[in-house]
Amino acid sequence: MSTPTKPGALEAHEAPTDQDEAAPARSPLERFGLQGKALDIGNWIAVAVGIYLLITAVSVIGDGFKAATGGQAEELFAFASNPLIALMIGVLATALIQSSSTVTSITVGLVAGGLPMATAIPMLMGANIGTTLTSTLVSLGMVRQKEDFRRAFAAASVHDFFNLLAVVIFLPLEMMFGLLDRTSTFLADQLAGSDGGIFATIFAGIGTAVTSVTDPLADLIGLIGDVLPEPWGGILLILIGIGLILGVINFIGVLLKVVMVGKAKQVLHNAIGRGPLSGILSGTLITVMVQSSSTTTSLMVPLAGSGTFSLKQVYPFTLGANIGTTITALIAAFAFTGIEARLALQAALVHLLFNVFATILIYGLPFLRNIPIFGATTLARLGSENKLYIAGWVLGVFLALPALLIFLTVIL
Amino acid sequence: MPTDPKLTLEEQLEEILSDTEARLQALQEQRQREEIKRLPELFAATSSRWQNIRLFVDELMSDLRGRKEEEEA
Repeated sequence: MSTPTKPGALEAHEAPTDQDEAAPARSPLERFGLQGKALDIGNWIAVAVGIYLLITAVSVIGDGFKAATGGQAEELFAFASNPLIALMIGVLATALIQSSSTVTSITVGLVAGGLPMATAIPMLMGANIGTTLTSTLVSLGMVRQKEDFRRAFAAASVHDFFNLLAVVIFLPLEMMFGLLDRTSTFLADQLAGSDGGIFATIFAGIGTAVTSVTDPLADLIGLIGDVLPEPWGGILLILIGIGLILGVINFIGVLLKVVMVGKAKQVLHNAIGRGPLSGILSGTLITVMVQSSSTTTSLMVPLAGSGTFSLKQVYPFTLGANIGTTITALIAAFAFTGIEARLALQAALVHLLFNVFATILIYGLPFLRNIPIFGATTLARLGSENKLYIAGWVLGVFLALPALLIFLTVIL
Repeated sequence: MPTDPKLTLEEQLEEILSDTEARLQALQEQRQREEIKRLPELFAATSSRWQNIRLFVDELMSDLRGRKEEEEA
C-alpha cells in the first residue's frame, strides 16, 4: 500500500466509535473449555469440517435442483433469463445475507444442477454489488463523527462504485460477445474437460477424492428429500443446502478470523509503504485467509474513518477482496465430478475472471480508475452534510433499483 | 533542520519540503503499524451490523428535525 502525502490525512481523530468498543474475535470452541495448543488444533479441525460441510451442502443443492427441475431448469428459470433480473436476484440475495461467498457457492451448486450459465453469470455479478452493503453498514456506525463518517463512507462506497462500474462495463460485453462465458468455457475445458490433458487429470483426481468423502453425507441428506414427492423433495434439499452453507460459512468465518489474525497482521505490515499492487495482493490474501470479502472491506472502514489509511490506499485493497472472495466458489466446485464438475468449475471461474478483468481494466486505465474515487468522495462529502443522500444511495442501490427493475421486467 | 549553505534558497526550501514529506510519511506508516496491532478487535467489528441502520436513522431524523426547526425559526 502506498502512503499518503497529503498532510490532511494526519489529522488526529480521537473520537470513540462503535468499532473501538469491539472485543477481539473469539473461537466458539472456547466454550468447550479448550485452550492453548488444543484450541489451535481444535480450530483447524473445525475449519476442515466446515469446508467438508460446505462442499457437501453445494452437492446437496446441485442434487436438489436437478430433482426439483426434472432437467427443465431452463424453462423453469425463464423468468430470470433477462440478465437484469438475474443480476438483481444476485444483488438482493447477497445484500440480504451479506455474504457473496454464500451466494456464489449456491450458484455453483445450481449451475451443476442445470441452471443455465447465461442466468448464473449476471447473478454472480450481482453478488459483487450486494456484498458491498456490509462495509456500508459498518460505516454507518460512525455517523455521529462527521469527518470520520465522511472518510469511512467514502472507503465503503468506493467498493460500491467500482463494482457498479464493473457491471456497467462487463454485463453489456457479456450480453453482446459472451466474454466471460467463452473465456470460462475455454479454461474449464482445460481444467476439467474430458480432453483437457494433465490439468484435467489432476482436477478430476482431486474431485474424485473429495466427492468420495462428501458423497456419503450428501446421499444421506438426499434421503430426506425422498420423503416428499417431486418437486417438493428437491426444493427441500435446496433449502437444506442453503441453510447449511449459510451456517457453515458464518462458522468458518468466525474461526478463520481467530486462526488467521497473526498471518493477516503480517500481510498488512508487509503491505505498508508499498504500491497499489501490494494493496491488491494483500486484499486478496487476507480475503482468501478469512474467506469473506465483507470482512476484509469492513476491516478497512474504521481505519479509513480514523484517517489512518487514505481512500487511495483502501481502494486497491478492496479490489483484492473482490478477487480473493472467489476462492470459496472454486472450493465449492470440487463438490462434483464429470460434466457437473466442468459446469461448476466454469461458474466459479466466471466469478474469478469477472473480478480479475474488472480490476485490470478499471484500475489499469487511469480515467476509469478515478471514477470510483470521484464518486465515493463526492457522495461522502454530500452525505456528511445531508444524510438524505446516504439514505437515498443505500436504499436506491440495494433495494429500490433491484426491486424496480424486477418489477418492470415482470410487468412489461 | 541543517541545510547546505551552498544551495540556493529555492533548493533549500525543496530539501526541507521533501524532508518534511518523508517524516510525515514515516509517521503515517508508524501510525498504520500501530493500528494493525488492533486487528483482532477490528476483525470482531466486521460482523453484520444491521443495528447501525437504527443509529443512522436516529441521526437522520434528528438532522431533519433540526432543519425543520431552523426553517420555522
